[in-house]
Amino acid sequence: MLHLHKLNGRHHLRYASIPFLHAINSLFDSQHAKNQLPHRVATSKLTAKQQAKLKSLIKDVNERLNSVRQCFNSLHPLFSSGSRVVNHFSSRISFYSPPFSSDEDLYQHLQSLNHAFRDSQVSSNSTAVITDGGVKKSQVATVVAHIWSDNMVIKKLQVNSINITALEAKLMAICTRLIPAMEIENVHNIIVITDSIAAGRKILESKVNPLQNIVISLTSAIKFFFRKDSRNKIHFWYCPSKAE
Amino acid sequence: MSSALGPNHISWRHLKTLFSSDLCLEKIVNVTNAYINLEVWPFHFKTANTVIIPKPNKESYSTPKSFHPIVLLNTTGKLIEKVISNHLQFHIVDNGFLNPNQLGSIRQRSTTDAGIYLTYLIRAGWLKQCHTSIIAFDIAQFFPSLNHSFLFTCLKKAGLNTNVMGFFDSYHTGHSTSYSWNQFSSPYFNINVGVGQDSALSPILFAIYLALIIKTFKKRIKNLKESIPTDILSFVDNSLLISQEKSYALSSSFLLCSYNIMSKILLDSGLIIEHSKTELFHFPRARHPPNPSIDLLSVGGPVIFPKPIWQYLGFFFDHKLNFHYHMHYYATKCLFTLSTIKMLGNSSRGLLPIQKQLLYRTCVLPIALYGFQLWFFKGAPTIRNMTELKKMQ
Repeated sequence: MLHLHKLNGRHHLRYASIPFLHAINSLFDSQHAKNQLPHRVATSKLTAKQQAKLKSLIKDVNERLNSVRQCFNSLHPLFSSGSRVVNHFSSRISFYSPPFSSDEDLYQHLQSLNHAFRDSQVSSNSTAVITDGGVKKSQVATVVAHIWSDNMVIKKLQVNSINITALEAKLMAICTRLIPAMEIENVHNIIVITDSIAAGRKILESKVNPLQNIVISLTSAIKFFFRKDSRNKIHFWYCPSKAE
Repeated sequence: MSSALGPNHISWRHLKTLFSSDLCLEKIVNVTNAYINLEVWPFHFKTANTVIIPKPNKESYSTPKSFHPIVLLNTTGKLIEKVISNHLQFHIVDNGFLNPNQLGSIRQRSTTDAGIYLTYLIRAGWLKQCHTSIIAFDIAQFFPSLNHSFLFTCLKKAGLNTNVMGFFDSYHTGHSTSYSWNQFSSPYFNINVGVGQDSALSPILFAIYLALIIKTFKKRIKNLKESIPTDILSFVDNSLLISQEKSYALSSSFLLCSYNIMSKILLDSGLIIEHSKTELFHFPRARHPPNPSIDLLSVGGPVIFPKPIWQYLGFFFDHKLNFHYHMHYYATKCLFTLSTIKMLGNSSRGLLPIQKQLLYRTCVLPIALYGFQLWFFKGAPTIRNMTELKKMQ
């Protein structure tokens, strides 16, 4: 009995890695098969009463895999100790946020941010990336990100998405514009202005978290940017969304 | 590693040693790429030896079906075929060309998946107050009957480029084989029909062939005046037509209509259903169900009556899905295997306990636990099946 339980457990986990276009996937909840229409007797099409009555391996698998998210990869070499960005380039990445939430501190912080932004627009070796992302009441997330250089917007982005959290939206905004900014030639200083410094810190986070899959591409690009030139630096600046 | 040698007498062991060197590996990769780019499959990979072996326990050996042909090809050619097959499978699965309900000859799709899919459908149907009726049919001489021109259409639809198409054009022409029977060997005969059963490319080519047939079937039943809610499940040449309805009359008519359409599509694509092997099975909700038969005379088949136990892909299905017969069958089979294990060993002593343990784990447990996922899950009545297992142990 114990052996069968063990084998059954292994078999359940196998269904976490089957391709989307698999017959078994069509029987799961709609969450498991985003690219495919569920079967007419799929678990999602049964009523709550029918679901409670149902006894099947598919139901067991569905219950077991509900808590498994596909968007984290803790085993990626970028997150192994000794090869993280923070281990090698800790002096080249900095975060600026007001120490306290008082208005005076915030005012001083914004003054410094204004100064840093003006400097970045004057210098030919600097560029600024301004990002924002959030989720509205209608569960639609909006991601906005611009790259500024010489007091001009050189790249714009506005995307709407569903089924993502506010933190994921903010991180996506940083990812989508920081990577092109790092690819611009002769740029050594990049200022990232965001309303969530936590999203910026997630890039360097070594703990297992569900945003790791988004971070992988950005982290490898940052590593490449820092290795390219010893002068290359990235500064994250906090700016509240309502600041004028 | 242990398969019989082809005409060039090079074994897998030789190839493994040879390709452990990076230089040799690079050469074979270059050669494989050249075959694709030049759209050619060399003649020496097309010649095969076919060994004819009689099938055991047959009443009469007067028909060709009583014999089992084993095709022996060159191992180097088989290796290259395997490489191309892996790439092709990845491309086809990634593009979503295959139907999700095609469960045979593709990686990550097993007989257990087919069994689990089927049992779930039946149980979910019972919750919706529906019974499930199934027609299982077999395609006659599936491997040698594939039509090359239809296969090219399928490959074209799958989005393969002209070089690959050209390669398959060369691959399917100019095959020859000699037949061996005991000490007798025949001269070489040309074979230009079907795809070699021993070829590593055959499974994926069959899957592509079937994918287009299933697509056409789904399109046809959707375009009917009244669309038929019939599901299809295919495992290589064994396919099922599944209908879930509250009335037997309705499900029988849906199944018959789908069966008609399917047999016509298969006929158009050069394949024939073996009507004598077609089976019918009902999974009713009621205690005393009517269990009606289906008349296949309109398509040239017999009247088929449902059996008390239905065997499909090695699973023994019963009306109530309790799998008692299935467990009994495999427990008996295990006991038979155990009795043969006792015969092993030399004249002075038997097997060591560690060897017995190894044999039990490798030869007995996989048989005993085949398809246990179908009856072992949370809340399932497992007492009787577990008793069978304990008895066997």
